[in-house]
Amino acid sequence: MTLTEPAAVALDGITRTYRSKAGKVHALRGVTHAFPRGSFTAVMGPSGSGKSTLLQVAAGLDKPTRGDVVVGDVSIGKLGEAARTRMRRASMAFVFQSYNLLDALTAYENVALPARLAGQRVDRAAVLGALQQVGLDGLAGRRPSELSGGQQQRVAIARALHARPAVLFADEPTGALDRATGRQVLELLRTAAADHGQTIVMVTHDPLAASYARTVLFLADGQIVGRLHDADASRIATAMSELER
Amino acid sequence: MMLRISRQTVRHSWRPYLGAFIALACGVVLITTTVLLVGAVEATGDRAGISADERAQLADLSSLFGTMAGVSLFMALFVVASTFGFVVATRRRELGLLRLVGATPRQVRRMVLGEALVVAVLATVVGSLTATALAPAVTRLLRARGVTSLDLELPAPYVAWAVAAGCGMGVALLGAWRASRRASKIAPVAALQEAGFERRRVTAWQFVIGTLCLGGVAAAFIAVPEITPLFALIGAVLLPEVVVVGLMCFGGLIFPKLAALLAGPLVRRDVAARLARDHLRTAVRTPASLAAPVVAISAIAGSMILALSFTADWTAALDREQLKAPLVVELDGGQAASRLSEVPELEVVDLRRAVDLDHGGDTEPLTVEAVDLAATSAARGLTAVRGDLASLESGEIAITETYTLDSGSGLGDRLRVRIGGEWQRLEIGAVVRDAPDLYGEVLASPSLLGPELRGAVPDMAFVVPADGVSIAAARAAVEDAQPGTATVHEAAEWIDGVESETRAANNLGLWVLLGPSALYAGIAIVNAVLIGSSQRRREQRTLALLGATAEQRRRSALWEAGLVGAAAVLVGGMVVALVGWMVGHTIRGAVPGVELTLPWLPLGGIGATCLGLTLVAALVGARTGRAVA
Repeated sequence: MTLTEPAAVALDGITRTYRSKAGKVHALRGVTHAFPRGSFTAVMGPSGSGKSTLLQVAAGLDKPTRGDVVVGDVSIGKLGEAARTRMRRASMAFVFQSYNLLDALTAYENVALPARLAGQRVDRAAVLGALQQVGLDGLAGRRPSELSGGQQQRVAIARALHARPAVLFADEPTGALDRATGRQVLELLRTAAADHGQTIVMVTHDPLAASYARTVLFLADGQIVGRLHDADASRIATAMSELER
Repeated sequence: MMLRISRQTVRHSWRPYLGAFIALACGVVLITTTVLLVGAVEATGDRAGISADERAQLADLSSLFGTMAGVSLFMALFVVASTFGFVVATRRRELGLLRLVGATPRQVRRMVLGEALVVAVLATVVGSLTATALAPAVTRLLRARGVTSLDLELPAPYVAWAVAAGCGMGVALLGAWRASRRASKIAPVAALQEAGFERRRVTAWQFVIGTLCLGGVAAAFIAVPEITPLFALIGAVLLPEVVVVGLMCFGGLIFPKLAALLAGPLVRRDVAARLARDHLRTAVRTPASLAAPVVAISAIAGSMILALSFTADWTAALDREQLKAPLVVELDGGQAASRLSEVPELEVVDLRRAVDLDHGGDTEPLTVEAVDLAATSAARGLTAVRGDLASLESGEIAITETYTLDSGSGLGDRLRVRIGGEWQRLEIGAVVRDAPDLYGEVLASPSLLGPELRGAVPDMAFVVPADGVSIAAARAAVEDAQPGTATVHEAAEWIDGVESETRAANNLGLWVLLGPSALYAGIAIVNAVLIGSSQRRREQRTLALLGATAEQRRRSALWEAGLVGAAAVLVGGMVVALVGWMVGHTIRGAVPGVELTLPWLPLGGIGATCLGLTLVAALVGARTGRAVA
């Protein structure tokens, strides 16, 4: 494939193979896809289809066996560890199902952490503004153990909003939340893409969560087997049922 | 920035760092006390009117504390290394998350070293202040116990604090160095991974070092028939350390497997033992970390205790073999010696007199014993193993085999000493057998020592009765001639007394050398068990959900710690047995028929203490875990 349109992240012929005692495991087989700037894409598929591997490879956390990942206009494969760290710090943020925050730091300090690690001066008002944006004003001084799961998740999103990275990777961000809190989190992600032009790549197994995305990618056996645009939860659920049949 | 995170991490989750803090604080207390005492010794030694004996007391005191502080800091290094190894292993996800949000490997490394620094600063402050507060009491205690007869003046504590701070920080950073390197290698993707099975991997370095250590020790054992008891004793002190290092390189493979093997007969009887066995089969870090201090203290301390016991047997056997005189007289003053020479019932009166000769430079004076060749040969069985003892009559000297080994001097070499104000180079004419309680390491004829002998008072006489005089009659004659100024012993009784004195002195030395090591081993054992049990909390919760009772979970934790402790004591015991065999074999070769004393009580005590500490810590860990579950 020739990547012509401007993409925040582009995967070009990605293959990821692991060796295990049982033999070779092909987690991804020649995946090619471009995540356009400002897009919100959900990645779905049955267990073992390669969703999480795709997210890790796209974020430069795992190296592909073959193929190339381009973030902006930089090929990740050619970067060393330190350069990859700097790029991740400057242009990526992450939200997971759980364990997003450092226990020893307060919500405020967790949000300010990427800037501090980059040696930048922390703008207190901006950090508090990010926390306010996710509805956590007044909780800046609390540690993760003093916050609920949903509040922790929103701190992670505030961190992503404050850093204003080009790409936000989310792995089952609503998996551990109740429906109402999950909706709040998904709205925040949608706002990040629509209002701030951030690119969101979200792995999920929940059709309702996926319906917040503009595009849904379906993976099976390490390959992209389908795409849906602006689909509602029932269409997505039907497509998933087809895949799992 | 990273130091700030380090500080917050230690403050937020201080429990895992407690072991490192206690170990460092104890080391700092000892090093501060040592520097304060050395300062006090210097200041007191400069006072006018201090005798040579008092000066020697002060020097011994400094070296005693110096040794204890040195051993403590060395052991603290291992406790810190073990603690931070655990801390890094248990925080893989957190460190991965830090990398994920943009920390470089160097920043992660700085953060872990920062945590070590925070612990070291706290330990240094607490340790220095504690030592400064305790120092006056320590000097009073030393005086009260008769260790020194002088009033020690303590200096201002600033130098001691500076030295302690340097040592504390240095040990903490050095101990955490490896863990910080390991932490810096954690990939960001670790933030997404649950803690999985630990891999039993021996790194290339561990394999090389382990093979070299164990191979070297095997070679030493193959050479056993060739070595002398003295070499065997040196080996008994050094080889266990090498074996322990070698074993620890393969610790992640050996101890979980051995502990699981020991659980074999128990698994059918108790489901808790089965759970413990199954957990041991997949665990690496906890068994290896717990086994390390147990093996170290049981192998090293056990080997030292056994070797020193065998040494006492060996020297007593040498004494018995060489001592010809049936009576030994302890003398009180020069008058007593001259009265003894006038007792007609005695054929030989062999006086033991020694002088300290200036050896040049800053070296310690050389103690030379004046021997009357005929008398000493008849009473103390003085025989040459090399050279000719007759050379003593022509102004040469004799040395023992141990002195040959210690000094590197041999037949024909010369020792430079000052006699009567003149420097002389005395040639070594003979090497004699060791008999440390019978005579000194360097022997010369009284005529050679001439003017130096004037002030030397004999402290002991080995006497042989005249022909036809019974031992009892000779003894009675000596006692009559020496009312209140001499104590007469029969030879066997005297050797038994010397042997028990030697064993008592050995015990004191062992306390000084092994006391801090044992303390640190204890800290390391408790530390490893408690951190290990805090790692199992999630598993404990799952077990509770699956229906395991609190009692079953507690028993499982006890079995696990007990089995690893038993495996480690077993391996430590095997090292002690090997060392014991090596020393015993060489001693029996040198002195056939010697009876060797096995110090079962202290050896058993070490094993029981290690196991006891392990089980108590496991019990405490299980109780805390139960509260959490």
